[in-house]
Amino acid sequence: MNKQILEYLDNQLDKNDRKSFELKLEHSPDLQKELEKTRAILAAMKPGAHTWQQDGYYAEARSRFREKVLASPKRAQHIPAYSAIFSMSTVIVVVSLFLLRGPSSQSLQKAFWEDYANLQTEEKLELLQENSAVGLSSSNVTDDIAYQDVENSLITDDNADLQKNAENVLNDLNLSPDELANSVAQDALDSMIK
Amino acid sequence: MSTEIPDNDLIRQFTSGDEKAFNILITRYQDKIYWHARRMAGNHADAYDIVQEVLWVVYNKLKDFKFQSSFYTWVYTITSTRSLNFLRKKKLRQFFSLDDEENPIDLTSDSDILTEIGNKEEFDRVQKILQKLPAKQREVFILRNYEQMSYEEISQIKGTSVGALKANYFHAVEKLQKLMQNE
Repeated sequence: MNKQILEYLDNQLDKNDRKSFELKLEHSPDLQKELEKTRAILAAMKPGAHTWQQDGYYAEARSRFREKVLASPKRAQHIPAYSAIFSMSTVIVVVSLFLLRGPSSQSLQKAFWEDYANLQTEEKLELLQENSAVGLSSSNVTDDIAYQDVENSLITDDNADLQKNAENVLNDLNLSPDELANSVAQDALDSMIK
Repeated sequence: MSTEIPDNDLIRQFTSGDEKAFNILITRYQDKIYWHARRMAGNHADAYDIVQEVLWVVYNKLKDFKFQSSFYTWVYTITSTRSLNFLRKKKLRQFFSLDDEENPIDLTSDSDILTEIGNKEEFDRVQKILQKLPAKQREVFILRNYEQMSYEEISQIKGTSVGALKANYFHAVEKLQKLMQNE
């Protein structure tokens, strides 16, 4: 079916398109034939456009409906107070859920780094030692070296040895104390979040 | 005269408790509601059920009418939705064999409101063809061809773009052509 024919019959063509279509139509018997065919289809469907009705049909339909209304509970009145109570309850539930939820990994991370920033290098090394002792450290930075040595050097009780061993380890890793501590601290944080 | 009262005033009267205003409104639109339902459903009995449902929805939801569209558009939207829902449910019932597919409702039943027999036969023939169109195409065809609505009005009722509606109309006529050739 030609779309333009339907648009023409459906009055959907603008003035120019309509004019050019009519011009085309004049010179094309095939197009004329197709136009008549489409027009005939629409005309054949027209009987559905007429309406005949028995007297009293609508009165009967309305009275049936009236019976239904009367049989139903009284029409619910719109009570604004109910809406207000419902809205307030919803807000309270949402706020409670928000307050009761655990800290997000983002806020946990932020708090951790704020605390961590306040530590001195020695304290960071202590943290490093603690974390290593409980097996929190598994940074990629230390994967390539004999990691057991790092742990052994850090879990010694002797503070002097600790400092010395830690320095040796840092030399091996070619990292500053802060860099190593940061790396382990990041691992510790990752484990906390998990 | 009641017909001179604007729809919106009648709605306000009804929401303030005047039940007569509802009757006036419905009398004004009953013809449109019925014939849309009738053409969608294809028979009087189903159309009757749809009309009852539409009246019920309008009666219960009128208090929430926001006056953002015309009552006419709103009623058509409800009639359209309820008709499509009805047809969907009917299809489901038939699928689960709750309705007797072998004995469809007699289109020429005595309870029908069509009275002139000659015209009635023609009408039934058209209805049968119309029922073979997919529901959405059928609806656009009905609204455009019988209700003489503009595509913009149909778009408001259906919440569909004018382009999509034109495509639906085109496919509907195309399919009608094939159906008539096979008749």
